[in-house]
Parts: sequence; structure tokens; C-alpha cells
Amino acid sequence: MAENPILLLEGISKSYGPVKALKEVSFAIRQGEIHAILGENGAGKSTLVKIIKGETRPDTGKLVFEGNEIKVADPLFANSIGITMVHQELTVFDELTVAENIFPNNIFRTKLGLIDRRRLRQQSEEQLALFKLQINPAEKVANLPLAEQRIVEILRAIALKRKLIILDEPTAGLNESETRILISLVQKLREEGITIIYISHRIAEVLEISDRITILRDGNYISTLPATEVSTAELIRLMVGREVDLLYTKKRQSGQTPGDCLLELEQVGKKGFVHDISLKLHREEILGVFGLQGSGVEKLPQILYGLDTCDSGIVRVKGQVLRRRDTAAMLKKGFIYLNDNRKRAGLFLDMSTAENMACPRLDKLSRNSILKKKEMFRYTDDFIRKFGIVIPSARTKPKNLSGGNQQKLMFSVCLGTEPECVILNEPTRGIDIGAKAEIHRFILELPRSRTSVILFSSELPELISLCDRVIVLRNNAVVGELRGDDINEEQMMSLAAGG
Amino acid sequence: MQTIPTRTRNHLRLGEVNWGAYSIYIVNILAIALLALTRKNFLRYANLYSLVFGLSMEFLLVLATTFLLIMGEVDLSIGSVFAFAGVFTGYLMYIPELPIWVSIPITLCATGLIGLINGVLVVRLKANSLMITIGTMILFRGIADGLINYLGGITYADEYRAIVGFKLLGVNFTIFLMLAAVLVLEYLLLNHAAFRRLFYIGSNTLSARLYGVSVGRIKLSVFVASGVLAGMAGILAASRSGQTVWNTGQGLEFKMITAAILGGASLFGGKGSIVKSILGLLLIAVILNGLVMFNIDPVWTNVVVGVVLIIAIFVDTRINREKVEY
Repeated sequence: MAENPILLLEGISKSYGPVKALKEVSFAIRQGEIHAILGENGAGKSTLVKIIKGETRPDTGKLVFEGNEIKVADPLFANSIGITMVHQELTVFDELTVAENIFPNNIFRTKLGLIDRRRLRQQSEEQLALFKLQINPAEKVANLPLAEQRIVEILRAIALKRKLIILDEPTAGLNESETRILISLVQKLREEGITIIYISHRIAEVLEISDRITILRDGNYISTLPATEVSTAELIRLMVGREVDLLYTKKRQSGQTPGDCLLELEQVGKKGFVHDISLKLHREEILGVFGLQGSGVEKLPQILYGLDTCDSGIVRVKGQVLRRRDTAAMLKKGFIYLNDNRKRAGLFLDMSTAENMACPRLDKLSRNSILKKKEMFRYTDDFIRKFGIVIPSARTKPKNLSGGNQQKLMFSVCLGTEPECVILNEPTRGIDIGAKAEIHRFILELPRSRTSVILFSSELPELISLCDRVIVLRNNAVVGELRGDDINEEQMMSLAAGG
Repeated sequence: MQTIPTRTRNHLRLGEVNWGAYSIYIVNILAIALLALTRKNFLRYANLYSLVFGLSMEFLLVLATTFLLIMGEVDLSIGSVFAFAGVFTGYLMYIPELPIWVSIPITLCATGLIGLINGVLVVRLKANSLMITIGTMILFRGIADGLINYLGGITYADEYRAIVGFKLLGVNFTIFLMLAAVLVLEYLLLNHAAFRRLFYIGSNTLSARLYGVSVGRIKLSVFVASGVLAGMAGILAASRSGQTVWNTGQGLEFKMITAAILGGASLFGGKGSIVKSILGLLLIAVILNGLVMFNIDPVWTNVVVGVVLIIAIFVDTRINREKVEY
């Protein structure tokens, strides 16, 4: 067995105040392997990654890279010895070309010190060809789809001769075919002798791609296993420390007569985004919307919630056509929207959790416009308990919470408005199985409290297990509606892909 | 088994106190103490009174600046609007010979309109308020200069000059106005739903919009308020000087931003306090007062204010650097 560690972690511990993020974690990453790190949110993955890439220093323990102990916590130093990370949030230069992104810093120069464009183009073409990628090196990166942008970022790491690349959720937000391209790229990297640390919540993907898997739980090192010798169920058991009902079964028995109509779209269109969308949402139902990237699923939720306007068609809210259908009006009508990108919008990361909770309810939490602070905190504490948010106090800022807890908080902010309809956009993106199961439970409870749900999701199992009805989009239009047993992966995919 | 009483809750240890939040108090106290100990004249009533009176002439501007900074916006036109308001009121009373109770409302409407223009440009064109208000700053400086040029070096009407001298219990009313405004506005800023919305907008405009905050309308109204406040301050200042003065209020906008940032506001929005902004303004006033006390030529004031601002930002980023990361 090739026991040739590129990176050794020995007794790494790290605390943030009273929170012990990592406790005496030790394991080795071998030269040239794909090493996955699995764990629920808050298990310590992100802290561990930060330590490896030199962003923070461990309290105790040491890192040994290629036989030398790393003593300084400095990302630039880590880069210089060959460690780099490809983030979930991209760090490409949007306005530059693919070639310039792969070889940043103008490394090819002519004798006069000008950029050697010919060599730049040649080298990037070679690089792209090596991985059998069909991307035009002269294209501006902003014009590429998400998957290719991420690939460009990985190629940059390779071009800079990095030896250890940390990939953080590299397939998040990618569709099936893009995921395949990315996975094959990662496998080619291994052939080139590059070591990969692979962070992902998608267990099937991790099992497929990685050589070995390290599991963390509550800051503890649990074990490192070869991917070939472990099953999905086993991994989940190790991650959560208990058995989880993993099967994607239909959890909702539909067939009840639907209530009256809450929201009705009649041939709604917005040039370049969606056209001719007609749909009806009834009370107490969960309506799913599915579509591949670019099918209109990006714009439709924004139009529904009044964040964006449509330029044709009619929208009736509870039978009424609103004169000014902005978010404030929709909120007043009992609608609320859960954003898909919580880092961009959906929370106020620098304000207290209580203030986050209060935002859409300022009027109800105040008397004569003066906020009742006590009530605000009581209200927040209620939701923290109800949704099991792990948080020191209602004064904590959301930026100090893990992804899963942020998501639950965002959920609480929305449900605190006592909505009649919630528009959920990717409610479980980028969170671990435990938190996901909880959020699914919350969603299923909504119709029971007379709240309707419109669920935009790219995860088929999620739609299958939660929805009464699923509308499928393709080419910016509705191409089908599925009910009951017709809501299955094959039907949805064939409608969405046009097969 | 013996239980050891723990005293963790509600027990602040020294290391846990957020010194950054109090730094403006501490620095003010230090500066005042230093001057009080080294210069006899500093603590004299006349000196302290003129210091506070000076503050009460300018505080209206720092209110506007603070409200805007909380939302992540700035209004660089306030210095020009300040100058314009003073000379425009003088003009209205001089040429059409309007009475003062007509001239002042007209002027304030005009400055409110300027604020509205700023606001509309920022909200509708989604333009950067820094850029837009540089435009209106230059524009209204030009108009103010034109009016002064037209009027020539006149002395303003007596009623106009009398405003600032109005006293209650032997104290200029502007000082009472300042105290009342600061207390009321600070309370509202902390507790009033409409004022809290400024913080939501500054913290994350998009999130605020998601949760029903009418971002555009609020921004518009604060820009209008900024124009009106700058107008009021300008009228007071012109009343005090009593005549047309070239370059009135030039650079005031930057002084106000400096004061607000000393008081913990941020150009990125989401932070700010009226009391602390006033304390920031006080600190600048104390420092300038100190320069006089130490017989340093007033031409050096800009150097000192600049250095103070740079130090403040440096200290702020050091102290407020995030302790917890995820």
C-alpha cells in the first residue's frame, strides 16, 4: 500500500470562544489521492479546511506538508508551497478571458514586458485540451456557465503548479451533465498526480469519486475509510451518529380536494426569461417547480414574489390584480420568499438574530411604531427552540452560525410572518443531511397550518417526497404538470430535458 | 460532591468588553482631560460655551450624514446646500423683500427639493450616491457663488441676523435644539420601526427588500431630510455671519463624514449612532480648540483632522476585527 502522506494532521484542535470546533483531529492525506471529508454542518469541516489553507492557526497540533511542519498561518504561504482551494463562491475574474484566468498575473511576457498573447493562448489551449474541454480560451469568463467558470478556476490552480487542491462543494449548483464533466476533470487531475481534498454533501458523488473518506462529527475525528469498503448507509450512520431514514419515499398523501386559489398566473411572460406561464396555486398544497438551468427557473420565483416585473400576462393574488405588486404588497397579502442564495440575500449577517427575525414583522412587534424589544426577543427565542437552531443567544450574529443553522434561521424569518404562501427557492442547498431532513419536516408541516408552498428545487428526490404537484419548465415555458405517482425522476427529467 | 459556583453569565470580564464601542467616549475624555490639565483657559466658561455653541451650529449636518451612512449612502452636496440656503434666504429678503417667515420656508422647500433630486437620481438611476452628490455639490456651489456675486458684499436683514441670537434662559436656543434633537433622535434610531429600517437597508439592501422594506421610498425621504437639515444649518450659519461670505461650508461634508466615522459609522452602511456622531464632531472641535490653545496656526487644522481620521479608521479596524469566524 502506498503510504506516502503529502499532508499529515496531528492533534489539531481549534476553539472559537466556548465552541470547540475541532478536537484533537489527526489523519493523513496521501500523495495523489482524492480524499473526501464528510460531516454534518458544524462538524468542523470548514474550520479544518481553513487551517489547511492557512487562513487560521490551530490552537494545538501541527500540520506537516511534504515532511516539513507548517508553522505560519498564511494563505499566501500555503499557496507558495502548493496548497490551494477552489471555493464554492467563485473567485474568477469575470471581465477577463478564459486564458487570462487560467494564467493570471500576466506570467507570459514579451521581451518588452508586454503580455505575450500568443503564448498565453497556446498554453491555455494545451491546458484545455489536456482535459478534453471545449472552451474557447478567448471567451470572457462572465459569459460561461457556472460549471465552466468553476473548471476555469480549477485549471488556474493546476497552471500554478499546485500540488494539493481543496475543492469545496464543486458540484453545488451544477446540473447533472455539468456534474459529470466536473467529476471527470477531477479524476483526470488525480491521474496527473495532484492530490485533492474533496468537500461535498452529496454522498453518492463522494463514494463515486474519492479514494478515501474521512468523517468528522461534532469536531471529532471519527474515522478514515476506503471508499470501496463503505456503503451510503454506513457513512450516514458515522456522520450523524444515528440511523436516518434515508429512503426517499413519498411522504405526502395527496388527493385531498385543494382549497381555493391563492395565486394565479395567466400567460405571464418576461422577454428573454419566461413566456406564457400559466399556473394556479391552491390553499394547503405543495406545488413543486422543476427545470434545468436556463429553463426559466431562475427568474420565475422572482416574478412570483414581485421582486421583478413581468411584461405580459396577468397575475392574480387571491383573485385580485394588484396595482403595485412589489415585495411589500406581496408580504401584506401573506406571501414570503425564501431566497436560494443566503449569502447574497435573505439574512442580515451583521445584525443580531433577533433583529433578523424582526425585519419582516416590524409593524407587528411594535406599538405606535416603537419596537417592543422584550417581545422581539421572546419571539426570536420561540423560533430558535421550534426550529432547533444551535445558537448561543438571540444576540448572536448570523455570520457566526453554520450554514445549516443560517438556513434554519432564514426559514424562521420567513415563517415568522405567518404566511399563507411561502415561495421556497432551493431550501436545502448546501446543507447537510441532518438539517435537510429537519427542513423537509418543517415543509411538510406547512399545509397542515393552512400554508401553501411553492417549492423550486433542483433535487428530484426532494420534489418527489414533498410535492402534491410538480410543474416542469423547459425553454422558459411550462412543458408539463405531474401529479401523484407520475412525480418520479424519469418523468421529470424527460420533460425537463425534452427527451 | 462539591459544586463550584460558576459566575459566567452576566459577568463581564475586562477582555470581553467591546472597547471599540466606547472608544469615542474614551478619546474625548482623554483629549478634554489633556487640555484641561495643560491649558488654564480651556475650562473657562466662555471657551466651553463657544465650543458647544459652535457644535450646535453644525450638528444638523452630522444628523443627515449619519442617517445616510447607516443606509450605506452619502450626500456630499450638504456643504454646498448649506451655503446656498444661507445666501438664498438673504436674497429672498433683500431683492423681493419677502418677510422672514416666508423666506425661510421657501428656502427649506428648495433645499428639500435638492435632496429629492439627489434621492431620485440615486434610487431611480441606481447611481452611486458618491458620484451623484459630487455632481450636485459642484452644481449648487456654483449657484451659491452666482447668488453671492449677484448680491455683492451685502449685510443681511436685521431679522435674519437676529435668529441665531435668540436665547432661552440666557443660553442660545440652538444648544437646546441640539440636546433635544440628539436625545429624541437617538431614542428613535434605537427603537422606532421606521428608523430601524435604515439599518436593515444598510446591512443588506436586497434582504431588506425581500422582507418588505420599501427601500426606494425610505432612501428618497432620507435624502430629502438631508437637504432640509443642511438648509437649516446653512440659515443658522448665515444668520451668525450676518453677511455674504465666499466659500461658506466648503469641506463641511467631509468634516461630517469624519465625525460620523469617528462615531462608529461605516461607509459600508449598517452602523451609526447620533450620540456618537455628535461626539465625533465634539472631538474634532476639541482638537481644533486645542490647536488654538497651543498657539498653532489654524492653517494646520486640515492636517490634524486628516491624521485623526486615519488613526480612527486604523484603530477601528484593529479593534473591531472579527473575533469569531466560520
